[in-house]
Amino acid sequence: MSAEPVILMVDDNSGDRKLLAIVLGDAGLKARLRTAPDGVVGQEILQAMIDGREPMCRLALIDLNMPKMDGRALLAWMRAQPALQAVPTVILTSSHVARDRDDCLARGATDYMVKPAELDDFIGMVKSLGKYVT
Amino acid sequence: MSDLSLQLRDRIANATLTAAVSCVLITTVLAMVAAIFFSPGRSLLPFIVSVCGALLAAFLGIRGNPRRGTACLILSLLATLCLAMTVNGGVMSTGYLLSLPIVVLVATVHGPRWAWVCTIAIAALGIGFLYASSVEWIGPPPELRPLFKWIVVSLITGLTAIFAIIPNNLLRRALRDLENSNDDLKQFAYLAAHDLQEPTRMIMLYMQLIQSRAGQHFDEETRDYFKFVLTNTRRMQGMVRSVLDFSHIGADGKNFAPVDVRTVVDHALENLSEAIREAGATVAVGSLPRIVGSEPQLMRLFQNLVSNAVKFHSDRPPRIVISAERASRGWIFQVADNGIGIPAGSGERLFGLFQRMHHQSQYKGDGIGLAVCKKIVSLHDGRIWFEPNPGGGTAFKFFLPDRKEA
Repeated sequence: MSAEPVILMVDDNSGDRKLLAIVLGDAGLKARLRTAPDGVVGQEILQAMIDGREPMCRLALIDLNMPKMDGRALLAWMRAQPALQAVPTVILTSSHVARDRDDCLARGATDYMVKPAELDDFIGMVKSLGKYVT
Repeated sequence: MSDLSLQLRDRIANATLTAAVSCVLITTVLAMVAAIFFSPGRSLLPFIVSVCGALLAAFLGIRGNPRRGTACLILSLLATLCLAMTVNGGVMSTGYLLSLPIVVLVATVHGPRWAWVCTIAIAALGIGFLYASSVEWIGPPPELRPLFKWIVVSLITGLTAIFAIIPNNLLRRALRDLENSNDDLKQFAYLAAHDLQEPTRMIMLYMQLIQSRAGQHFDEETRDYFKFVLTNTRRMQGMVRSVLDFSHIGADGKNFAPVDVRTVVDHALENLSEAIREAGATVAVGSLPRIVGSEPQLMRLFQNLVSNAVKFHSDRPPRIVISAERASRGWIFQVADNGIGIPAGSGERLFGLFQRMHHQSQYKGDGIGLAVCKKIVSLHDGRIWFEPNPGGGTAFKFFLPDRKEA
């Protein structure tokens, strides 16, 4: 088992998953990234973490609009799992809609972030996630 | 409802009164001709009153004074009523009176073209049949003439009613199709913009990643290429955001409530305070009314207009005047500046999406501000236009009709 904290990213955009893995180092974050392309796979991984089959993640990053199971459904499921109550869950989405933000925060998301469109901002965002991991 | 169909309805409504009074005019003149021919020796006075009334109604209708036009229309109808009692045993004029409301109805519902067709058809049929009924060798026997005339009148009325119904349905269907296709188009614009957002963001991020990882190995030329790609990708992102932004206006329905326009303008100016200070602009605000509308939309409207006035300034420091004046059935608001002005003949194009009058390097912006203004004014059932400001610059004006609280 690795001693590095694990970040789980559930996002259907492979570009974002890859970029996060690439810039973790630039942002000075020592963490191992575990990724899932949709809510269903994300749920399976989280279940494995609950069952102790893999190390529990320190932070979960969830996209909102995904195929199969979307971010809202996954968030609702996570909030119903006693073992996941302590896991900070950040919604990371391209939706600027204020209603989505309020809705997610009301449903128990720790934070709501809009995916940045500039590399510096992206790295800055990853840095700001450091507080959940260290 | 879509902008396009609103415009269409607006146009039909504008054409309506003119068409209605013109048709009354024509029908009256033709009735007069018929009566003179078929009822010699009758009093012409009611006719003269009727024709004068209709003429006046037509004139006022064309001049765009609906209220007085309607009054004259009623006058001419009354005169026609007198006419009905005196001419041709009342039958001819009864027919005319019966067909008249239908002509007006056609004009009201379908606009001028169908009303003209309808009027000419009535007149032709009426005169034709009346002529036939009065000629010995083709007309019916004298004892059956009143009956024959009633048949003619019923026929005309019936045909006119058919005229009234058919194009009405056609137009309604066309309008519905137009609304549907317009909604589809808007939906398409929204979805296309929404789906373009992610790929453009990826292009941007990975281009920057390449630059940050390998930039030091680039020669001058490659650096230029990168700059070019990044500038244009940013521009594309801006446009995509603008389309999404534009689509969102009014998407949450009409949340109209009483709004103090002065408060709205103060908020807008507060948001622009930095730009106003930087440009050294002075803003004078006249007395502004309370109206019923959407507060966030109205704030955006004023903010965009003032922002333009600040942005497009000439060598003089910008001086902006915001005022309102009472019009019949609404308010006309004005944001006037002493800026560079707008070339004559720019017309409606200025209010289109992504329309820019200047090069991006000259004045920054994405060419969406006035399109947003127009959409907001349309959502309030109003109208926006611009005029050259006396003494240089431009005055943007918009009319917002009175409305009861939603």
